[in-house]
Amino acid sequence: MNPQLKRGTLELCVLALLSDRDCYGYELVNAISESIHITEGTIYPLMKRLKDEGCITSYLVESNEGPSRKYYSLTDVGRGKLAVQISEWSDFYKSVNKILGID
Amino acid sequence: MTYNTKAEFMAALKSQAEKYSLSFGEMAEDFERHFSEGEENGETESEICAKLGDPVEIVKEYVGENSENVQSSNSNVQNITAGVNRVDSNTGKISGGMITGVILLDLFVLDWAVPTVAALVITYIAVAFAFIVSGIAGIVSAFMPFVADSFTSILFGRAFNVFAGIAVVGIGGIMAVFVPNVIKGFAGVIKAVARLHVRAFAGRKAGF
Repeated sequence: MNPQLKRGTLELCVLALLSDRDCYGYELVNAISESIHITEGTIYPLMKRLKDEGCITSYLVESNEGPSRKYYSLTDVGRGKLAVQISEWSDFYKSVNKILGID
Repeated sequence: MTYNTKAEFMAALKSQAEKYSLSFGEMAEDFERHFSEGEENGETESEICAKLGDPVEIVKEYVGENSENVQSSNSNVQNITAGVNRVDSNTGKISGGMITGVILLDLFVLDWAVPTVAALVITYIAVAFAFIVSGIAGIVSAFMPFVADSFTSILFGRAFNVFAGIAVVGIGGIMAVFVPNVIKGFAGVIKAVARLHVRAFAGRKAGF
């Protein structure tokens, strides 16, 4: 799959998963890589950028074994971005399908 | 490349981060967590490394978004500076900045300089005309007995008005001689401004 296309959709998928419930990094990666092949390490740079943009926040939860888990939570800014991206995705998807002749 | 152990992966990630002067602290924590969560899930270090991918590519993602931002802000700066470019010293072509300059000049020329100079030219012609007319009036009045004596004719005699009138007509005449030059000079300035517009907007070589 085209890396540029994948990069954009990865962000959309992360925002969509977080709109459902708070997740930790490994959880997000697993949920996405079930359906899409991704270079899993790129999720962390993405999370940092989303955090810098104010789309997500993170908090630590102590774990019984190993280090504490870092959960990510969607902010209102993030919800706004998700809504925009869903609408963009939907338009894009319809336009491409129209060109491809897929209904 | 990919690695087989967590230690190798983390060392490679650290050296890449240092290469781009990125702080490694939070990055290291995220990947440390990822390894321990993967192991809890029954994955081996080697499997986790393979799925995480190349540290070079990962660090590029950290940097990548930053450098895109830097590029876009640079291009904004370039767009702004493009507007104040001077005439290119190599080609002599007039750039967008030249047009900006001409527009600024227009604000000055059309709003202030042209009306002011036009007013001065008209005043000059009017003053020359007034000198001649009043001088003639002064001369004529001296020869008209029914005209009441003026202040100067009482003081200096009627002949004074004649000589003064001749002098005033002379000054007006000298001024009148230069009226064509004044009008030509004014027209020349207008023409120069017009030429500047043609050159700037046609993108021809700068001619000054």
